[in-house]
Amino acid sequence: MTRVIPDSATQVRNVAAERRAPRGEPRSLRVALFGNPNTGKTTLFNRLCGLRAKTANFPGITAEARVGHCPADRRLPVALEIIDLPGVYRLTLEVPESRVCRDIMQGSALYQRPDAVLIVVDATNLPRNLLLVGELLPHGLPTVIALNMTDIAQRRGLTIDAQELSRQIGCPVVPTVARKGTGAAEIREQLVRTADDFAAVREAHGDHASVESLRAIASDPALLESWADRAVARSVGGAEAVGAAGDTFTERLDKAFTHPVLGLMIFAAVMAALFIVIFQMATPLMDFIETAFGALGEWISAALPPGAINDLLAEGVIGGVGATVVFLPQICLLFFLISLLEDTGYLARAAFVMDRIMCRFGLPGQAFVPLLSSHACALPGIMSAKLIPDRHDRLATILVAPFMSCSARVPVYVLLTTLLFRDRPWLAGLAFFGCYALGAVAGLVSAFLARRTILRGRSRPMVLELPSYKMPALRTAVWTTIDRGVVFLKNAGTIILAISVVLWWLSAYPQVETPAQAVEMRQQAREMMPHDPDGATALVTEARRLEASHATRESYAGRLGRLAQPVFAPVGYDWQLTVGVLTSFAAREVFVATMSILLTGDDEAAAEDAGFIDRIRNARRDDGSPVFTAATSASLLVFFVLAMQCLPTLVVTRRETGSWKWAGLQLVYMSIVAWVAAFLTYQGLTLMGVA
Amino acid sequence: MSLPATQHAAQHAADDAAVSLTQLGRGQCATFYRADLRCEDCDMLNAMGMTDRCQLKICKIGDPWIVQVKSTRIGLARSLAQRILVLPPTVRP
Repeated sequence: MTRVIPDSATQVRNVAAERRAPRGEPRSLRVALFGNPNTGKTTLFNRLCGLRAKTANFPGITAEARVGHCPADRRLPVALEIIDLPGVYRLTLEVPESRVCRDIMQGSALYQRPDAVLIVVDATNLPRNLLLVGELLPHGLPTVIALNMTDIAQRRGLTIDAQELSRQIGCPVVPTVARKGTGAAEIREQLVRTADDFAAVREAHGDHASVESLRAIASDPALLESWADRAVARSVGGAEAVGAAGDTFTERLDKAFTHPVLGLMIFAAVMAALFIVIFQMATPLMDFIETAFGALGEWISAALPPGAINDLLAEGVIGGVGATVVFLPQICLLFFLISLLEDTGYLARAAFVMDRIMCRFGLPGQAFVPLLSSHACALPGIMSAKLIPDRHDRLATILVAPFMSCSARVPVYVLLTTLLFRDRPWLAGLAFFGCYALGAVAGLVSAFLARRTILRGRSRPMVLELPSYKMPALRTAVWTTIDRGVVFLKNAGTIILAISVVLWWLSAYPQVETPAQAVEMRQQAREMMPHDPDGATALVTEARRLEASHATRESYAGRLGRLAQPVFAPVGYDWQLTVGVLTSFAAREVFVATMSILLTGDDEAAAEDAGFIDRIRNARRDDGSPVFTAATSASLLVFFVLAMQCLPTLVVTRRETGSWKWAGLQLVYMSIVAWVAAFLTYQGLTLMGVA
Repeated sequence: MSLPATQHAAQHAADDAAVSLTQLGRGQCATFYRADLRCEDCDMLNAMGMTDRCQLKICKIGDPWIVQVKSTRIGLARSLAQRILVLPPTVRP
């Protein structure tokens, strides 16, 4: 087991005082924020830094830290840079989060050693929280303890003498109630004072233990435990109350929430309510964003002279980013509601309810929320997989999340099920449900296979600390939402933007000459206009369809479609369907628009439009046979259920897993599964004579 | 180095008396004895407060088992709870 190797205390003493700021700029302190999970660490961080924070990924792992700034002011002319580290029980645990904390304390690898340490401890659970303190103190860095949740401790009958506790552990202890902001200002002052002269502060707090003796204590678990117990015994009153976490209210709620049947029903109700709220509230906001981006594209198109720059900005940049940003309301609402739920303490109980089902497929109970979220959109689903503590469990969840049928697939499902069962709505409905079921089954089976191959191992039997039930903190939920929203927008504005531009270019270029037939139609329309305006308008519309169809056919994407057609021939697709499938790799919903342009020349048709469905149904291949047979439609439906056709999802997978390897695997695996399943469907139906 | 005979005897007595956590009823208290689990799971339990010879109270039986150690409530999957050995209150550790 790796043990921390602390520097000598003398080396780090007065670090802050030695860190000279450039002339005219306030001095700054780098503070590492530690704490056990569920101690209110992030709430305190939000109180100290507010919106002046950004999320940073640790290289190579999925653990994240937020870095916030607490600016200098007239009262305290020292700026703080605070790193909110992942919650850890112990530094010595062999989990990624503990490894990051150890590296930070040692200043090893890419990490810069902090000037000071702030440890948040739960006042209602001091004996266990002090073990982490005992492991951090031997590093000799200026340390301040935030004794949080003192209000709950008081309600439980605990009286904590902060000064005595401070004397016992040898560093300043500041009582706080992070949810209300109590003690936040004192924390800042104490951090600066301690960093300025840690030796004097230690002396003032009556600490006689040298760093060497603290090191000896930290290296022996039994000694560390008795050190913590002694500190608690001398500073905490109401000893009986120390173990009084359980009360009748908590017992009853736990019994209901984790009950095999009742717990499942409550969970189903909570999740149903969550998603109804998300869909209800997100829809008008999504419509607004769509309209706003549409208007912006039109404005740019009108403001700039026609040409490549105009097309690039209006269609490539605005169109591409708009298509991704439209999911922002869903993402924000999901994170806001999940943050509230998590804060109440309910999610930890719900995880146990789902664990009984999910563990059969090698997934933990916590995977349920990300997988359910993926039915709205895989992006928030994958982002919410952070709730899963084990790395293999988390990776398995991320890998299979895109199998869940997201809302972007709905227009494709509508089109294809209508083509398959035009006059049999109940069969169309059944097929629609079948798509969702097929996606979920494929996801669970893939997780099962992944846990027996690349992510070998069973999902770890669940062991979780059950936090106290409490009212959720609205402020924390808002900050979490803003944070996740900003992360998503950054992706949309960088990698997704670049991909959108490339795909737009492939489908819009090279620009080809207008077909002679379209030129002739426009000429006829001009001549007809004075005496038959309706006929002229119809001719112009027809000419526009012809031009769009010709442009797509001759575009690089169209050429690629013809080139790739042999790959899709065994699953029943001609070059037009192949172009539709290839362009859908940007986003699935593009399929309907591509089919519309290629087969009907109408770029504004909707999947529900009856006339459009008829035109699609009557569309012909180059050899005169129908484009959509029953076998082709079924094969396409299966392909769209199972294929990984969403580049933003790949980008988010890369971000959340820290590697393109997993995103690449996701793309390749899902594409192969989709192709094989589509092949079996097409060939099977053809053999049965359904085609 | 071998243990003295008295310690050996005590060890045997504790081994014989240790029962699975799942054999206890709701509201019963016991002393944590040993966990036959993977190292990582043992470390995690230990970090959560389930340390050598600590006292624990069964708050809920079934899946999950909920135990309280000091003021920490810990939820345990059935498969995990089955492999945690405890000494019932009548047995001195």
